Amino acid sequence: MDIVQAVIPALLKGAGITLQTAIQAGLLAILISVVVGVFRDVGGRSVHFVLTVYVEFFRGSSAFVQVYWVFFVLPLFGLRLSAILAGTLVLGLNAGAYGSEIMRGALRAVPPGQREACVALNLSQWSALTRILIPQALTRAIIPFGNLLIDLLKGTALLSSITVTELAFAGRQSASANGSPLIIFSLVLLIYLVLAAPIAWTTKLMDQRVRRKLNIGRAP
Amino acid sequence: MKQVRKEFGGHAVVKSMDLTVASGEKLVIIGPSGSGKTTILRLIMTLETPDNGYIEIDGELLGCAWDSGRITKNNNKNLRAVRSKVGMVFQHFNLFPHMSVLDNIMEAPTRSLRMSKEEARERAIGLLQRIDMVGKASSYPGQLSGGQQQRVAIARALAMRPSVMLFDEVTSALDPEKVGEILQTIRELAAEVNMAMVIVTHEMGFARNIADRVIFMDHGEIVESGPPDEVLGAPVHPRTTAFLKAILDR
Amino acid sequence: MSIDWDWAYVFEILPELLRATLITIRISLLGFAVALVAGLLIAMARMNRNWVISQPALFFVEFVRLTPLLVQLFFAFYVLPVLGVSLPAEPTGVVVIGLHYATYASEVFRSGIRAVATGQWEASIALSLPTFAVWRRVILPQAIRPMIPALGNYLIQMFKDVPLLSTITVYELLGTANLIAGSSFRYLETLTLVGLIFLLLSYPSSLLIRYLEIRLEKS
Repeated sequence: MDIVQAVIPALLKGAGITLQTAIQAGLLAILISVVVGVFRDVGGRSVHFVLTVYVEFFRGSSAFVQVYWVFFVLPLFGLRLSAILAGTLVLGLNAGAYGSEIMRGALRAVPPGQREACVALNLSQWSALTRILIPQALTRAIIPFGNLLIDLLKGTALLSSITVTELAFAGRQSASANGSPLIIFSLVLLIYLVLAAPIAWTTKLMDQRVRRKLNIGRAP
Repeated sequence: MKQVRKEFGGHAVVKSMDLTVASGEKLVIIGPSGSGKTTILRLIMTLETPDNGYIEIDGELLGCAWDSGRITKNNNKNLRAVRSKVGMVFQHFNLFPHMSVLDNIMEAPTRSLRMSKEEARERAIGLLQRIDMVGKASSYPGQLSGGQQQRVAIARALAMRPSVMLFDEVTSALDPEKVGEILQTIRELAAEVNMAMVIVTHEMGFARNIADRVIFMDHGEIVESGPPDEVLGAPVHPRTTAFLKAILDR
Repeated sequence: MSIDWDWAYVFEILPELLRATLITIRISLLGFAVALVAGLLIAMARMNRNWVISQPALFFVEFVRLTPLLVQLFFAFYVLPVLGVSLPAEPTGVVVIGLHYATYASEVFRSGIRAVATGQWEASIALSLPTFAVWRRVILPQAIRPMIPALGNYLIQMFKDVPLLSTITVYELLGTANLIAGSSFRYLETLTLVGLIFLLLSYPSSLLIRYLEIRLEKS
């Protein structure tokens, strides 16, 4: 147990950075998801093209490669970001690309009658989107967005390769300094579990409550 | 509406339709499914745009404008102003499931008419009293029966005080025992509000009772038009006769 | 360091990167095979009525899905030797990434099987077919076709996760690229090429899967 006491402070410090990165990248990802998800279908042709390139680029090339690219190549263009800022941006942009597809699918799943009701009530396109269509899409996207945030949290581990001293980095460092990888990596996995499980529980609970309130049945 | 034509996939659903609805008139449109009756309502509601012809409401063109004697398509400038005079009740209610009954009714007056919240709430509660549903003001649509939802949908459309209301087979999605209560609500409305109504329905008793005029449509054309007693009681055209016989034999 | 794009350098390293790409593809396919087999076993375990079998399977799925693949790789790579299991880096990576995606595949199997199972089970019981025959001859053949798009998407996702194996000394595409760039200091060309190779392989594949999805929906 001595080893646990020895490494726990370092691991918790790493977990703090993991959590901070995940929250910042998560906020960025959700913002991007909604904006890009809506405007890919609502915006004009050129907007659609630019956003499609963004989404397909980030979904198509590996997240880990993107992390490396931003860390090693951006400085060559004179853009010097700290490792943690670069990593947060890449993770946020990457998750945002996936999230915008969730949002787009959820918007398309809103029944056409809802759009027709908006026309019949003479709501402006802006009101229809912000008051009716986006809120309804979000009620159907709680679980997928929860999974996205969990993936994002797990994705922060990638930043250990670009010198961000988050949890995976702290684990690897402690293991090489102290030995006993079994105990240390078990602890690391456990901490990730403790961070991720609440996201899964909360979103599941939110989904159940919303479904009960709106009486739209159980998740497929 | 003048010479209005609408095609879907090369098939004319509405063929060169001329139709005028007087202010306060109750017009019932009957006809077999696929005859174009619902499309007429959807054209007036601007859910579809006509391929030809134009629609005027209170002398204002809907979704288009005159330009040196010709109609220009897709003039959206006046669209919202003119459209606010039309209200519609749908077959499947189309209430907003994420909003309470009260918010459903208040949404359009506050957002579209820019009414204050207090005023909109007052108006909404007045309407809920009329449809006898004040007790359900904070319920969500998913918690209501089909009949209750449809009454809320009617109240929601009325909150905009339109000069013409469209009813698209509003009882078709309801259980048979709920049909009566909705028809009663519409009948009461018709008696007390001087608002034009265009009603598409399969309920012949209701049609005869409420209509100032009945139109029988088939294959995108008006086949027969006149007072309810004539069209429903003593139809002249063989197609009308056949349709009415089929309905009664059901 | 320079921001000038050097084509000569690109053509110099391209053959090596392409060779490494083949390794990445090999790992993806082997890992996917592990994911399919293990995923099916997990799915069957989770659908077992005996909780002694279904609960551990559920725990395994949740645990794997809630923790990062990268740390799972570290765990296997650094811990297995301590436990006396010595496996080279690449097979370790294949097994870990395969098991990771097996948990996702198991969900696809489970929902796919459930979609056909209920009515078909009853019919098969009525015909008193043995359990194994019901699975092999009745349930799986019907369930597999609708699963193909979802499984295909996981294959592509797994392909894009193979670079993680570079952290446990597997010289797949990204690992090789880091090695090359580390000595030439030309990160721009090297890493951009890696990104492009991933894009060129995964984007058309995902289009193919979307096409399959649309075709399946129509039939």
